[in-house]
This record gives sequence, structure tokens and C-alpha cells, in this order.
Amino acid sequence: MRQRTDPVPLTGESPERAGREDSALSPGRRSRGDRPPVPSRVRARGTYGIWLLPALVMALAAVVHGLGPIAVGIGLAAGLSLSGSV
Amino acid sequence: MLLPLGRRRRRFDRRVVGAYLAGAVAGATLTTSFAWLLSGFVQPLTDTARIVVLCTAALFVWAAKDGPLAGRVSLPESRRQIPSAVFTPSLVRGAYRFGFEMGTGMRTYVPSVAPYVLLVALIVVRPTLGQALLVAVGFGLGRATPLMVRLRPEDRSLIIREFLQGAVHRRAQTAAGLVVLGGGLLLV
Repeated sequence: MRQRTDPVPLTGESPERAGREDSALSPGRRSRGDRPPVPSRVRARGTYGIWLLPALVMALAAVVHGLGPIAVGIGLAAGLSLSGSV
Repeated sequence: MLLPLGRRRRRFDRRVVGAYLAGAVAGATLTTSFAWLLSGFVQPLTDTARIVVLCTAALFVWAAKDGPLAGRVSLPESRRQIPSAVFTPSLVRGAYRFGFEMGTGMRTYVPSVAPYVLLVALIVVRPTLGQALLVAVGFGLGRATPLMVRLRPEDRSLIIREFLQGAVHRRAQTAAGLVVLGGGLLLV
């Protein structure tokens, strides 16, 4: 199996970084009150983005008259809500 | 990081992301299947009772996470980071294991309200097995989205990345919780 030489896993950091959701994807985030500042423009886009994508998926349910898109949509919304640490 | 920044994506990176996505969906499938099995215990509840329980639970979760009960009531979560040992055999296999643990939603921190509401909805709503599996697909997809976005050239993915970064904001997380609650109510 091919091994890469790039810096890879950043999981399991020191205790002072505890509170972050995960670290292999990104620097993550800290617990309440210790969150890194997020620019307001980014906040606004994130707010609308997290609303829109799952809501659009669920809106498909109205078109196809099925509950499947709703199921996918609520799963997607929950998954995306944990994606802030890109 | 699983995918380093600032260079052109290669086929190997796609394998890593594919493995992560497969792991996330598999982990989510495990959790949703377990919740689906538990949902059998709420069969005697009427639809009205399900709606009341779901809304009450969602309100409590929000209050404990971002509302007036924050800091006083702690919701169950695994307060640990996924150990780097999962990557030891190979990066692709490690990405799958890492995705699997992330996909379960129970192996690391859960900073958002929505996964809790989703779990309650799965148990209370009593979805069909097919719907539960579709929830797992959606959750795994959402979990893997940040990594999938990285496969795209930086200039085209900037807006999407900003969307995702904004998810840390409390309003966005509350909104996601409301979307899950609304979808759950539609499934009742």
C-alpha cells in the first residue's frame, strides 16, 4: 500500500486543545466561550448555507411526494452542522 | 490533515476522500440502525404524543447546548478526540476508520444541536428502515462534505468552504436543528 509523505493525522493533540470536535480535518473549534472569531460575512453565508441545502433537499419531497428526501435532508442537515471545522 | 492544502488533487486523494465518505456512511448506518431498533419501544405512542415528545426533547437539547441551561446540563457526548492510531496501517484504511468513527456521531465531541435532535427523531418518529438508512446516507454525506469540498480547486470551492465554516456559528447550528426538527415532524 502506498504511503504518503504529506503531514497527515493531527488527531490526539495535547489536552489544551481539548474541546475540539475533531482535528484531522481542520483546526476545529473549542468549547463555548473559547470559539475562534468568525468574520460576519462568513457567519452569514454559513447561516444561510446550513439552512438552504437541507431545506432544498427536503423541498424535493413536495415534488416527488415521498418521504425519502426528507430523511436524507435531516441527515444532511445534522451532518453539515458538524462541518464548521473545514 | 487528510488532504494537505495548496496543491493539485491526485487520484490518491480521491481514494482517501472516498474511503472517508464510505466510512462516514457506514458509521451513520450503524447508529441509525440501532436507533431504528430502539424506535420499536415507542410503538404504543400516538402521533400527537410523538410530536410532543420530539418538540420537548428538541427544546431541551437546544436549552442545554445553546440556551439557558448551557453549562448547567451537559448532554452525553464522547469527550475525546479520535486517536491518530486509526491511521497507522495506511491512509486510505485510516480514512475509512476515521470516517466511520465520525459517522457514528458518538465517538468524539458533538458541538451542534442537530445530531441530538436527529437521534431523538429517529427513535420517536419510528421511520421505516429505508428512511432510517436514507438518514444515514444524508448524515454521512454531510459529514464528508468538508473533505469532498477540498477536492475541488480552491477558487471554485471558496464560497462553499465559507458556507461550511459558518456552521460553527450558533445561529447556523440552531437553524440546522430546526431543519431536523421540521423534517422529523413531517415524518411522524
